[in-house]
Amino acid sequence: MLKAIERARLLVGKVSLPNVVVGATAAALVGGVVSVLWLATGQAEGLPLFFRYPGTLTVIALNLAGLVLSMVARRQFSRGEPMRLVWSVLAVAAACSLTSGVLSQVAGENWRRARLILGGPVQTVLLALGLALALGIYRQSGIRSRPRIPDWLLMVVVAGFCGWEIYDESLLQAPGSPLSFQQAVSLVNDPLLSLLLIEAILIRRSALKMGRGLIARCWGAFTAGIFLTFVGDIAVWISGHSPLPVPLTATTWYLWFLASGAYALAPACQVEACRRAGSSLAAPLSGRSAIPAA
Amino acid sequence: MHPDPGRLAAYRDRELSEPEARDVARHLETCPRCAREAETASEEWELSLAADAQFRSQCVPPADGLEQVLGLIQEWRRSAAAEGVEGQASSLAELRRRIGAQLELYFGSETAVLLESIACSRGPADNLITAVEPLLTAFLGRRAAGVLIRRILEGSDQRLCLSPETA
Repeated sequence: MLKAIERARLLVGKVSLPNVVVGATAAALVGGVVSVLWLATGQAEGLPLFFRYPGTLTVIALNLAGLVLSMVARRQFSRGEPMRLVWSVLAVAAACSLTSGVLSQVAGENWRRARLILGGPVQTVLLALGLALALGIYRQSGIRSRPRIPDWLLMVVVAGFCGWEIYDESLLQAPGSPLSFQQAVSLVNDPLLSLLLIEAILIRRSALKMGRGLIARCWGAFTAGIFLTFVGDIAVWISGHSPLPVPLTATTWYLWFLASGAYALAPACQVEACRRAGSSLAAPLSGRSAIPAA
Repeated sequence: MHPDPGRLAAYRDRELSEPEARDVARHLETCPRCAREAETASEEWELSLAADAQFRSQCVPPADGLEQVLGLIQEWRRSAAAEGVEGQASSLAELRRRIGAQLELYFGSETAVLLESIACSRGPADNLITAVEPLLTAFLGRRAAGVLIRRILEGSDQRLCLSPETA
């Protein structure tokens, strides 16, 4: 029995965490594709069934993985190290996302407001704070890259969409009637999400400058998660204005798998990097070097 | 008082002052033990002188004399210095390769090149370690970075890794 546990521990030690997260996300996507194929057979109940149970469970599991891995990543830094604070903030953001996801499934309408606030502005503010701190570390390390023209264009598009959304909400709002809670949350969250995306663009540029290492992939995954959340937000906005056919709406639901997977992948890459650096799993020193020999 | 072996040797080599030599001679006339000791030391000394003379007779003097010897010494010194520089350059290249491999894994190839350019603008490999260490600490944590740097430095020429202040 002890040997089996030891063997399992060794196996877990050898498993690449980013690969596990990518595998789980890919499995969820495959499940989604199968449910769409099921829809094609004329049985319409397959798709909602998938998204109601296995789909939701996958998203919650990925959120949980994101929280646990963020906490592990936090523990890999000693007290006083700037990155420990970054991961503390990101772990709280992951906790908010998980709590919101769980509340949406198990709690009733009484918890709706808490769920919307936690999974909306609170999580976005925490992510924005964490990314701002990470950008500061990039700057201090001398590897922060300046945004280029496509980045500026994307930032203008993001800001434009945010402005348009607010304007659109004000047009839809009947004069004198108060905003609904969801509208108010959306009005607060969307500008924050735009700010977060701008930070993500800056982080992405720096990550691209670094290359394709585990740390660069970590911040690249956060960028991808934020970008997918933003695209999902646009999809929700579009479907709120003009109802889309179910299969098309369902394809936008996959974005949340990808976004949750990306948010879990980011700390997985960080934990994997620290694990390899501090253990025998590190790359062999005889490996190819990017630095040309003098 | 019996003279010690050093004093006896000095007497044999006529290095003592006249009164001192007279005292030792007087003692040797009256002390058979010291006389025997002085005789044995004298015989050994004669033997070593004979062996030295034989060795010198076998040595072939260099054709160009002292100048050639000095030239050979200078040549040996130059080659030793060149070997030292080559060895240091090889250790430096190995250290850079190790650092590059690790940076590529954790950050990406571009970071390795970027840090190399930063370090090159400042000086040799000790500056590369100085440039890499804060980055590894910032993104991997003090503990993991410490282990990683130790692993990079294992087997490398430690003198290359010390800053000029500590070297």
